[in-house]
Amino acid sequence: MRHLRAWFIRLGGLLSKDRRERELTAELESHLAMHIEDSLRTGKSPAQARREAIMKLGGVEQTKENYRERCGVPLLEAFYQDLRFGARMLRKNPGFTLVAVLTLALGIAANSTIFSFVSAVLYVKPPVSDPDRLAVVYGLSPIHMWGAGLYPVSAPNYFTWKHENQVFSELAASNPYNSLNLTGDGDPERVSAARVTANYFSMLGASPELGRTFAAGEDHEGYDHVAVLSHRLWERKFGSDPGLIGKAIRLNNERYTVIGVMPLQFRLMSFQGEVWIPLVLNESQQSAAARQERNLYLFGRLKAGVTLETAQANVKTLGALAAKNFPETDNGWEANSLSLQEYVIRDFNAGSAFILLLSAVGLVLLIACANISGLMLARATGRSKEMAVRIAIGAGRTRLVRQLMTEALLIAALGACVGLALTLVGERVMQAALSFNDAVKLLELKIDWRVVSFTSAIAVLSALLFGLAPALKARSVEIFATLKNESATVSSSKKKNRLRSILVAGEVALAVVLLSGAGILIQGIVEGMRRNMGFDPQRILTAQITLPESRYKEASAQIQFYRELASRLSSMPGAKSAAITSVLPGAGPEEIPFRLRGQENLPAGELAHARYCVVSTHYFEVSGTTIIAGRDFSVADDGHAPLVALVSEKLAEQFFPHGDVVGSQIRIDSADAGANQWRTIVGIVQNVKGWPLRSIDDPEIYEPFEQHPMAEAAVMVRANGDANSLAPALREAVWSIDRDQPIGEVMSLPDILENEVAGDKIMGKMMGTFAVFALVLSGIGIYGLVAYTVGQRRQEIGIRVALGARKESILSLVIMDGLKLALIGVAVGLTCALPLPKAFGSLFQDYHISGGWIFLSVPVLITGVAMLACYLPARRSSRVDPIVALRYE
Amino acid sequence: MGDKADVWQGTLALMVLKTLQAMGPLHGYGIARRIEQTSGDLLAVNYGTLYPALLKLEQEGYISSEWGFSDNNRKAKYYKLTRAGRKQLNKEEREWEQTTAILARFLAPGEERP
Repeated sequence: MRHLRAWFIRLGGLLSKDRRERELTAELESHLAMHIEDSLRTGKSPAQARREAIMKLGGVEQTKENYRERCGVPLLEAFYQDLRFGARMLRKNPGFTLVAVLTLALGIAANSTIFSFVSAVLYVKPPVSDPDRLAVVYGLSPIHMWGAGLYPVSAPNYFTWKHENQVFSELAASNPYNSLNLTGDGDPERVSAARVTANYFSMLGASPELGRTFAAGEDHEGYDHVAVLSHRLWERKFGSDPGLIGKAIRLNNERYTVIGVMPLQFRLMSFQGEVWIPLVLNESQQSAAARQERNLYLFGRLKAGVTLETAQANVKTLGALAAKNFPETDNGWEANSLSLQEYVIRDFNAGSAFILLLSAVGLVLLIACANISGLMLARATGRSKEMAVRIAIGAGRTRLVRQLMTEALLIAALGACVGLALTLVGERVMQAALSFNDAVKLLELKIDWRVVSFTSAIAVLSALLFGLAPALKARSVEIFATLKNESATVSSSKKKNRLRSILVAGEVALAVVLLSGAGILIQGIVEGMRRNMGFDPQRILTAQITLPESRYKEASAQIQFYRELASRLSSMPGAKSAAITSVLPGAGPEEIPFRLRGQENLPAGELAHARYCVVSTHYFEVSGTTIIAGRDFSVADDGHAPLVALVSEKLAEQFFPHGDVVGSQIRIDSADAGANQWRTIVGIVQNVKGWPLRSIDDPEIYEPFEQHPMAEAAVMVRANGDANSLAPALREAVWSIDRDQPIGEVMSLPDILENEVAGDKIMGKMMGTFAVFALVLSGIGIYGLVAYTVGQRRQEIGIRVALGARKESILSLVIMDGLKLALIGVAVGLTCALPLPKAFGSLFQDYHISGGWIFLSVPVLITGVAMLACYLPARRSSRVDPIVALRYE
Repeated sequence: MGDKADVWQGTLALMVLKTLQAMGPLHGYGIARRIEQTSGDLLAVNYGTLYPALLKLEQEGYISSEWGFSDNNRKAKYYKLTRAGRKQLNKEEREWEQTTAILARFLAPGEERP
């Protein structure tokens, strides 16, 4: 307790130093005076008395020093002193300070921007109550074709697990990817809708902005015609009318009462629903078909005291149980559960993107630190005399190191401040770039305490990194040699600059790694896009149509509508041909298990999967896909004709290795038993990419539209000129058949594909930017070193010139030295970069990754930059006037 | 345990407190002289070491200081024991007595175990 009091007083003592100093001096003087008086009284002479008194005291200055140390907090005082000194030094060298601070600020800003993005995603607060206690239950397919492989589950799964789980106090289900026709108010429209169980909103703890959410029992037949709207839909379509609650809207031609509106921030993961309606499930529906229809996402609230790990174990057990009890449908399937947050990250496959981005900016920062370290080393040599003098007077070497580190911290602090300001800019840029994706658009990139802490942390870390080298070097200063002013005459400056050379070589290596990484990624993207997709998206306009069940219940009605539509669309002025398809080419998966003859009794879990598409006649003509063998669908393949199918090359290769594809039979195994008919394969089609950047070909099955009609389909029109110009005519064509038919998403196919790869392109751009940063920074690093070396070697060069060396040989001398360094760096960097293609291959499975010419062009590029960086100072050096150089001391 | 310097610091502090208790308020020189006398000139330390010790005691609140005038009308800084100082002195005196008693038992001849 007393110690604490003492410490506080000491801290306070920092402030009143002058007064204390005066008091102490007065006290010591009076002490000495009294001692001298006493001594005089015993008969000593004044001079003797004084000398004795001082000696007995132990030296006035020494006493004062000891006293002072107890007065304040020496460590703090020293630090403060160092700060002031450091600030003065920085002010005296504005050039150095500017370059160092800006370089660091750039590195820090890049890191903080990416960090703020990552932190925004990771720490986004889902608009639900207590998000840490929420988990998502999903299925894992035995074979999966796309992305993260997180699958929804079936309704029977939901019911069983709802009753038998031991870890969730409540479980809700959502079928989020529906689209409904909204008619009645103005133009008919297709809206995305999520069907959810009645307890969905209450379990999540999400409150509506207006009205209420579903009440218990509203997900049962007869009570389910209520709807909750999203803020966007309410604003856009209904003008934010508060009186909308209680009014009715027509969804798929059925009357639904609007009971509430959700606030703008309410969105869960990637679900962009505009409307929520109750999910009506029949618990008695436990057929195999129902088990195979997996379209439910389950959300659960953990019971009090239950951890996520426990929940995961329980869910896994339930999944295994389902696989055991229902082997025909669930064999091989597993279940697992993730917290809401983790699910979002997995779903977006954001993990690998984050790692990549963070590594890239981390490398940029390292390079920046290496540059600053080099600068400080250069300055240190200039201050070696100052250091020697200080050591000679008695400063401990540790004190010197502390002082240099303080200077480094000062630079870091300045760099962090400027860096934070730049981060603001960076965040704006990033936000604009990411606006392609609705989910990401809502992220708020801001400078919160997390970003500030991160920035401070990396600033301190950087200070340690770049301050260490010069500080250690200062420690080993030889006092005598420096003080005696033994300048390096013509000695080679190589040894002196070894540390700096290592730094520069290291920078170059890092830059090589970063450039290679970025190059591989960008090449993967570019290659992927250039690769033949199997169809020609140019000039194709598309639209999504969903025929409401109420008016188009019969298959014949559906066929009639689409047949008529196709014909009207193809006869539009400016249109070449038109077709109908269940899924647009290159726009995503729709996979389905299938059987060949001989596989009739295989359990469902062991079937192979293929991509699946129902298309009308002329489809392959419109999409520009070639028929390789056999024939295309024709008008003869209608509802009364024998059932036929087309398969892709890949399917033929993979499943019919002996040929004789045409004529064999195939059958899909969908949830709708009526659609599972044996069909004869009548032709083989060129492979079509499922997704613009996908490098693997998938097996595909096509069925003719008239033999498998659907209510929901996409229309494709190939235009003679600009696709978008046909949009009004397209709408007219649809409405000329049915005025109340909503049309969703009229977009040209190139635009749709562009949206899909927007995210990857952004990544590529960002990586490219960072790589360029790295290149520029290393170039500056090389330039700095060479310029400095040249300055040091002026005498040497002067002598050479005086002895007859020509300008060219001086040039090559200097450039060679610099180049050697760069080449070492390139060699090291290449060795480190070699495993990159494989690493990327596992991270980004869909990309086409090859090393190839990247490993050739990057070294060439860097060597070129290095040569330029060496040439500039070399040129100046070759113009040195030998007389001036020799006289220069 | 602290090194020798700390032990010395502790003992010096105790001596200062005792001196102030016995002599009443006293200036730094006076305390130094008194300690020297009491220890029978066995201690030959610099008077200078006293001042940091005095400062520490003051920071810890065991003594307080005030400028005053000495007998010869010289301005000097006088130190005086505070109530907390008095309590601390009593406590330390007792501790020292205990320590010496225990050590005496150990170092006393003839107390050998059979």
